[in-house]
Amino acid sequence: MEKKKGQDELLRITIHMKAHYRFPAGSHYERFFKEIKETGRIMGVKCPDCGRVLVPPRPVCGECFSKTEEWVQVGPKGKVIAFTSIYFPFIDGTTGKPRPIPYGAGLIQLDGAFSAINHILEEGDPEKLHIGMRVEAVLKEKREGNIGDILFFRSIEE
Amino acid sequence: MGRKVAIIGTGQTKHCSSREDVNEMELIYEAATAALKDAEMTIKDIDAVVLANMELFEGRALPDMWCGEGAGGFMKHAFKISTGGTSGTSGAISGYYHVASGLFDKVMVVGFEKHSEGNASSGMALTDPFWDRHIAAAAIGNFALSVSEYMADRGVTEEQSAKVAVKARRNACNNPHAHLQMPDLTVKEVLESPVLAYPIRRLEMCPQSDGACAIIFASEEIAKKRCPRPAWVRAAVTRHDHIYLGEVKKRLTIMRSLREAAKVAYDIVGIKEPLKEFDVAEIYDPLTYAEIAWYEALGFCKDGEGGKLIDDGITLMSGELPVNPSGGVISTNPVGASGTIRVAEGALQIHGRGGKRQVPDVNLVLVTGYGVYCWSDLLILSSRPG
Amino acid sequence: MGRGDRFGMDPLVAIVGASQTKFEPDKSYESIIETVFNVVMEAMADAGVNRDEVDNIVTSSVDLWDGRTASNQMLTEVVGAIMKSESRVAGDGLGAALQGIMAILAGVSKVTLVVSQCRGSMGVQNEISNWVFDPIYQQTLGLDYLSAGALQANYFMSQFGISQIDCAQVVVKNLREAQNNPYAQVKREITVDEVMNSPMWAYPIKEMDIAPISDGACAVILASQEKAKVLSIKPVWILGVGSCLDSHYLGDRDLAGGDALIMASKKAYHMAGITNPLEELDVAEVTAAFSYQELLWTELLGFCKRGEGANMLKTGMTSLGGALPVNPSGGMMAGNPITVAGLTRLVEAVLQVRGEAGQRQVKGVRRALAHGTTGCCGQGQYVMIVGD
Repeated sequence: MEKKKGQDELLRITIHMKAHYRFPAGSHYERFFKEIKETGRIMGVKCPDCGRVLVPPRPVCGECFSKTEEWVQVGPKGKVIAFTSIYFPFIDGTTGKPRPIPYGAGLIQLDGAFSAINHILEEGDPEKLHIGMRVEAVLKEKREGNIGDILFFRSIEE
Repeated sequence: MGRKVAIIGTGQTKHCSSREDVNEMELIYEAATAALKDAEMTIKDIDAVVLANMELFEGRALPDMWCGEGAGGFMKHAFKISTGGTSGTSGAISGYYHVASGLFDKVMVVGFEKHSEGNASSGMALTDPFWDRHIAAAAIGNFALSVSEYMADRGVTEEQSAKVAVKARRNACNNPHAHLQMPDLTVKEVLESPVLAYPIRRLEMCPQSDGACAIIFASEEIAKKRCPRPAWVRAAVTRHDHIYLGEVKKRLTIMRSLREAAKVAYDIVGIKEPLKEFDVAEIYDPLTYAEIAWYEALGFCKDGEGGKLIDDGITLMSGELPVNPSGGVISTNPVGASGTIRVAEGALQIHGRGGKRQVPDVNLVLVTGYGVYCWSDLLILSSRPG
Repeated sequence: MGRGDRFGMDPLVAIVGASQTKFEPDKSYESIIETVFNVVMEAMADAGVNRDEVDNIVTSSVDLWDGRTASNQMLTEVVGAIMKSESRVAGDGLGAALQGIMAILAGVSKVTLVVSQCRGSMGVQNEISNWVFDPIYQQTLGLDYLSAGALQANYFMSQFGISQIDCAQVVVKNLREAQNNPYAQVKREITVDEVMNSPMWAYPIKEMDIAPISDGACAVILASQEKAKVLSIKPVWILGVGSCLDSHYLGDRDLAGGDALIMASKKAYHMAGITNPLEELDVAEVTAAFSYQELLWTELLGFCKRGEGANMLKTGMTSLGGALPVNPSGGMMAGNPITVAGLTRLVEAVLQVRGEAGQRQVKGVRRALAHGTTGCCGQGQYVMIVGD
């Protein structure tokens, strides 16, 4: 990049972005988080047409375009269908701070679910992770009703 | 019902990590004026402007309001396509609709992104507020998950991935606009670069760039008059797939939306053997493994043989089907422009304006666009109007 | 412009389905995707199509208003776009409608769903609209849609001798007529005095001059000529479209001159074969986020001479029952879902042409105009003419 004629100093204008939002969760997320908080159960919804159990639960099965109304418990155990270990300090959008690295993340297909969910794996060493391994959700003691109530997924022997 | 449409000019800025010498409007202006020069037109010739951008990376709202004039969007129709990650190709496809519809004759599409303004990691972090933000690993983290699936399914190796990185970064040296140019990069260096999200290494991942790219679409009458060798748009297909990564499953291994888009586009044009029939492909490759996986999805080879394609050098500049002579997204990634660049790079190969990266005798080009998680755009450009 | 000349005589695209939500100050009782799914289902039912028959979807929403990057991503499943062609126009819903119309004219689509959504309640409006202004000169002054609108109001009113009372009349008319609109958020009989006594927010704009911010969504289903004839007994044909973008810097524009709207309406009228809008249009739905804008836009649309907008309103010409009713739905005074506004106007225009506008129906509508704006002070302008 070259400065143009007349540009001695490059002027930068800094504007801080303050934007406040209130996101409406909707009934499906509300119930999902309520269940986790109060009973520790992870729930999915079943599509009346294809029969797939979707997690996170949502009002519509995208594949069939059908309303989902049947709630089904899934997990807390499941299998890892994809994994990785993060070595780069990304900013956690909920806290504004980076997570301590390295940390494991994976796609976990909870028992009974069609969808896999994207979540943290307790094990951060990729040598100790493999596709198909069994894991179990570890929940917080004091839950708040958000996705952080599931702390991570712990490897289990099965 | 639709009219024939061709691309008659393209222009790009020099893409780099930070263009501090210009503001966003000036960045667009650079690309727009380069395209006008390429097409030998003036801004008065243009009927409409389409901008493509992911504005929240720069923290803006409706940047077409401020920057529209930079592309000549003054006293004419101008709007912005913002279809997530595929914005660049989605914008180009919109430009194609503009002319094919008959409502406009000469349309300028400008894809742009100025990552250096604003905090793109925050931008990426601003995903679904209830679910995805928790993992906070951005695109790399998500891709790493898909790579682990793909490696397990198809046996692609780290070496093969590194070869793709070397191809990209060396091809980029022939492209005066490319961001990351590394003429001496070796497989060894790639494999020794730090792991960002296992198993993806720094040198296998695309950068974040500032840059803009402009394309001029024209009707048949104008194209035949104004361009010695127009790049005719023979197909423009979009397919979107699920928005939760866990639903998508096998994003690399299968990539359903891309396979379907390819099938539809190939049918339209009558392509039976893509590897033989295409002369060049500009594939949207956010990382090396994706390029290999999508060789398979695009039918260049059987499933499982993507790695072999790169091992055998088929997709090198000297190979049967050069893939990404421009250096691809792995070398240059201003998100809102990356897709537009693919279209421009494909078109200029047909125009014969590829300079050092020109592939000889180009008549049929494949272009793809990609967006998180599984959105695909696919265009086929040809030297023949069909 | 290629197809412009005869477009209205043999229209190639029609609207076969339309739906809108009730406009409310806060729809937090349901998520955005639920709202959008419902409005999409209604539009499909209205058109008599199922999701498989829709081959293309265009959405309209803006990241900063939704508080997330690529906010259109959350809509893919509920607009039936899985394994379909989908795109988003970030701006007013009429822009998305234009994209849909072009896709059909291009022969790429036969049935396109266009959806627009916005939740005014989610964010702080003056924070958000401040980010539309360029960061170099205007943003740091703290401009937002309200303060910039006030500048435009002041300039327009002083140019043509329009008073605050004239603007208040717009509010009175619209809120009164909104009582006929089951989707309206605000609807009641009010007096000029009430408007004049409401708190001053940015001179000369008072609280009641401002269209109340809403949450809402709406959808239309477009079809090719061939498909429309099969799907609908009464397709509403697109007779003309015009779109134009003005300069960004407020000082570069003639804020009361409205070059962009004049240009956009000229194109639309030309395509539709309209030479005298006052005579040839039966109803108009215009996007006016502030009371003065209804006067300004109706003048620029050529319904009357410059400066005569207020008189036209006073004589009842633009009321229900008048020569050219403007905003019989109550317009945006009945609810302002920001970027959804323009598409809502189109939905209203469609209902009018079909004769399905209930108590707000204008008699004998054959041609209707829908108008939308993007950006501040109508920097971007859309005009669509529809008819039977």
